[in-house]
Amino acid sequence: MDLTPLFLSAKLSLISTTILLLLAMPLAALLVFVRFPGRFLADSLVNLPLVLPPTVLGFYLLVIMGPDGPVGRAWAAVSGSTMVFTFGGIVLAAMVHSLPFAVQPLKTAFEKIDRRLLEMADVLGSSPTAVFFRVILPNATGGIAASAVLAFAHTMGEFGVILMVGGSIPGRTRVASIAIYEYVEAMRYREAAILSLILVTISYSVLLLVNHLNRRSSQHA
Amino acid sequence: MLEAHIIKKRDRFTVDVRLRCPAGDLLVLTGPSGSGKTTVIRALAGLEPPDAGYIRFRERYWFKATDRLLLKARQRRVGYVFQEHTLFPHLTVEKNVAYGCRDPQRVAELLAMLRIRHLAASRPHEISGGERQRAALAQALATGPEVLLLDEPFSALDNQTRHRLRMELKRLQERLQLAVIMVTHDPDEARQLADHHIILRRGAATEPDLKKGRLSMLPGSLPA
Repeated sequence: MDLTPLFLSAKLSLISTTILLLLAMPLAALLVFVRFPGRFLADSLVNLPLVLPPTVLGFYLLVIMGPDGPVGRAWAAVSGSTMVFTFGGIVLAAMVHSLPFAVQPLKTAFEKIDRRLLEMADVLGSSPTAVFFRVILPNATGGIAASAVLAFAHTMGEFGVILMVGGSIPGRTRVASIAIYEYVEAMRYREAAILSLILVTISYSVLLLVNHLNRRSSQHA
Repeated sequence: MLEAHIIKKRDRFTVDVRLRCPAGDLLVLTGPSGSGKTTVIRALAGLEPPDAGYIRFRERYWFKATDRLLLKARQRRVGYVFQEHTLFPHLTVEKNVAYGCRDPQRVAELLAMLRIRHLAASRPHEISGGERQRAALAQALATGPEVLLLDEPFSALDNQTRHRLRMELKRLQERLQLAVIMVTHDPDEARQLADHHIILRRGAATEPDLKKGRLSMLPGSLPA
């Protein structure tokens, strides 16, 4: 049995989660700690992928990342290649779709931090950047771990958005969930069952881990 | 000399206080809960901008409403000890003290001065309330402040520890020649420590002497 789709899913999840975390941490801090006009709108925009059907999100991403879309054109100007139907394209799509799953646990963890710690750091001479790295992040480790795990798990099971943006190119964009769908279509239930069982096991382990991290984080709070 | 006229609108009244505290002196702010004491001390620290007035230390303005000048908290040379112990929970006592200070020798001196050297490797949750407050004091002093702001620093401590720490504070203040502004509910504390005293009621200084332009009074004349 070909396990390439599973490895591709793991690689996609690992890369997109890493990049997503780096972006989600300052974004969550911005939404929690900085008052700016339109904060409510920005917060809702971050959560939009939660309520949009994946095909709708996938369609818009396809348009934006396509050869005539702004992101696709910019990417072509830099790299000389197209963005849709590539591994890079599905990384970006997975990041957009998993954004709320990465940002929400971080926001919750940041909101729990005692504001006086931030004020104290300010009085002690820290710049906002230093406060972020020296106070906020070390006191939100549970939230960071939960964010990473949730984003990873969500991307592992990603289907609609990736199918729209990446198609199903073996070895490039044919991830586990798409492979399962195609096995079922081809009546190859045994392969579909094995891949599904592996995904269920990964997802359940991830949920156990998130629960454990949440419990540990609330014990330390 | 720290001089300030702080005007800040609050929900039910306006805080309007003038104060003056020379280096080496300790000014105590007392008054009932919600009278504006913490507002004043937070304004001095740069954590809450006043609506009007000024704050000046020596010849430098930290805040001047007419010039729209407002220095950030980190730009003022203040140490601040909060009402409750707010050490960084993820750092050891030594790293807490060293947070705003890059000089390991000064950190070591402060740990020794506040008698918490043996706790250097402990985390805040592993030490007692009095020890945490000593560590908080060392942390506030580590940046070399010229003004020390204390917001009910001893209120959560037992009588014996409170008395010991008061004595320690007085000793430190005289030794380091700091201008110290302290908020307290405790009349004994005020009587014991104050070189100057302001009583706040609904945001206004109620001490009769203040109306004549004198902003302070001697500890002996403190009402019981």
